[in-house]
Amino acid sequence: MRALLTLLTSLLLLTPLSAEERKGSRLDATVWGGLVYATTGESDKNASPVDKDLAAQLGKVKAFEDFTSFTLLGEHNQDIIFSDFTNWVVPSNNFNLQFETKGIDEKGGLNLMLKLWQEERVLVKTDATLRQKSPLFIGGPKWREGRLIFVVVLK
Amino acid sequence: MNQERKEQLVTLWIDDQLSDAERAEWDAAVASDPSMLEEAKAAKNTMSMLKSEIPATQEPPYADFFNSQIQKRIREENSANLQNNPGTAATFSLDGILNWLRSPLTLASAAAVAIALFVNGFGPGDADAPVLASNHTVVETVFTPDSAINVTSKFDEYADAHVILLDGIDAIPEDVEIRGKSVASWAPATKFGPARFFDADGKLAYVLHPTPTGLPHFLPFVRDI
Repeated sequence: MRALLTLLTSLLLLTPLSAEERKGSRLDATVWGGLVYATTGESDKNASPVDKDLAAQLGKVKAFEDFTSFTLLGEHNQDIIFSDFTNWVVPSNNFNLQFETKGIDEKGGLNLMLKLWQEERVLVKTDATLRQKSPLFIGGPKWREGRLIFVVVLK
Repeated sequence: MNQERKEQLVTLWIDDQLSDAERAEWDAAVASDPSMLEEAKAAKNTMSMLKSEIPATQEPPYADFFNSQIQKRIREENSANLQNNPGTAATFSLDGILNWLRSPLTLASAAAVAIALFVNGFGPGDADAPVLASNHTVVETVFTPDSAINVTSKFDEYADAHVILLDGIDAIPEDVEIRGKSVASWAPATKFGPARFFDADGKLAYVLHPTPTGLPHFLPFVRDI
C-alpha cells in the first residue's frame, strides 16, 4: 500500500500540466533572474562569472563601484509567464522572487508586482515596469567578502 | 449646502482665499450654522499648533513609498486625463491633491508632515522623471514590511538600471553556503501538486510548496540534491 502511494505521488509530481490546469493567459515575455555575489575579494571559484554586459552595468552603479568581481550563484530564465497568476523566479532556494503581472503595456514593458524572499522572509515588495535592456538590481545582505545582489531582467 | 461645499469654504477661509462671492456664501453659511465657524476655527488652531510644534521638515517612515504612491496617483490621473482629452498635454491636478492635503479631516491628522514632504521631497523634476523614463525600467512603489531594513530606490542613468538597496539586513554568516542552480523552465502548482523547476536538461531542480500562509517552502529532499 505504501509503495502504491509513493508511486501515485511520484506520478502526480511528474505528470505534465494540462492547459486547463493553468490559470491566466501565457505572455510572450521572458524574465531572467540571477543571484549575483559581488565582492572586493577573491571571486567564488565554484560560480561562473556574470555576463560581460551585465557585469559592466553592475560596475557602473555607485553603490557597487567598489566591487571588483561579480559571479553568478544561480539563475532562472523564465519564459513561461502567466498573467493574473503567481509566478516564481528561483535562481536559488535561499533567494527567490514571487511576482504577479497584469500583462505587457503598449511599449513592451512588463508590469509586475514583485516580492523578494530570503528563505521565508519578505525583504521588499515593489510595483515595477520592467523594460528590455534596463535591469532591476536589488542590493541584498552582506555575505563573506561582499554582498548579494538579485538581478531581474526582461529579455 | 452640501458637506463637500462646506469643506471647500472652510479650507478657503483657513487659507484666507475666499473671493467676494465666496465670502458672501461663507457669511450666509456661518449665519445659518454657527457650528461651522467653530469647526473652522478649531481646524485653523490645529494647523497653527502643528506648524509651531512640528519641524518644518521631517523624514517620515517609508518616504520613498509615500512619494511613489503620490507619483503613481499623479500618473494615473495623467493617464485618465489623456484618455478623456486625447491630444492635450499631460497635467496633474495640483488643486485636487492640495485640497486633499488641506481638507480639515486630513489637517486634523497629519497634514503638516505630508505638506512638508510634498514641498521638500517632491518637486516638479521628480514628478516628470518616471514619465520621461518610459524606455527604462520604472519602480513605482517600494515597501519593506521589515522595520530593520532601510530601503532606497533610484534609477541609475549611468548604468541604465533601477537600483533598490536594502540596508540593515543582518549579514549572512560566512559558514552558510549560498548556492543556486540554473533553472530553465517551470511547471506551476496545481491542485494535484506543487510548482516544479527544471534545469536545461529537464532534471528537477526545485520543488516549491508554499505553506498555507503563502510562505515559500522548498521540499527538503530536493534542496539537498
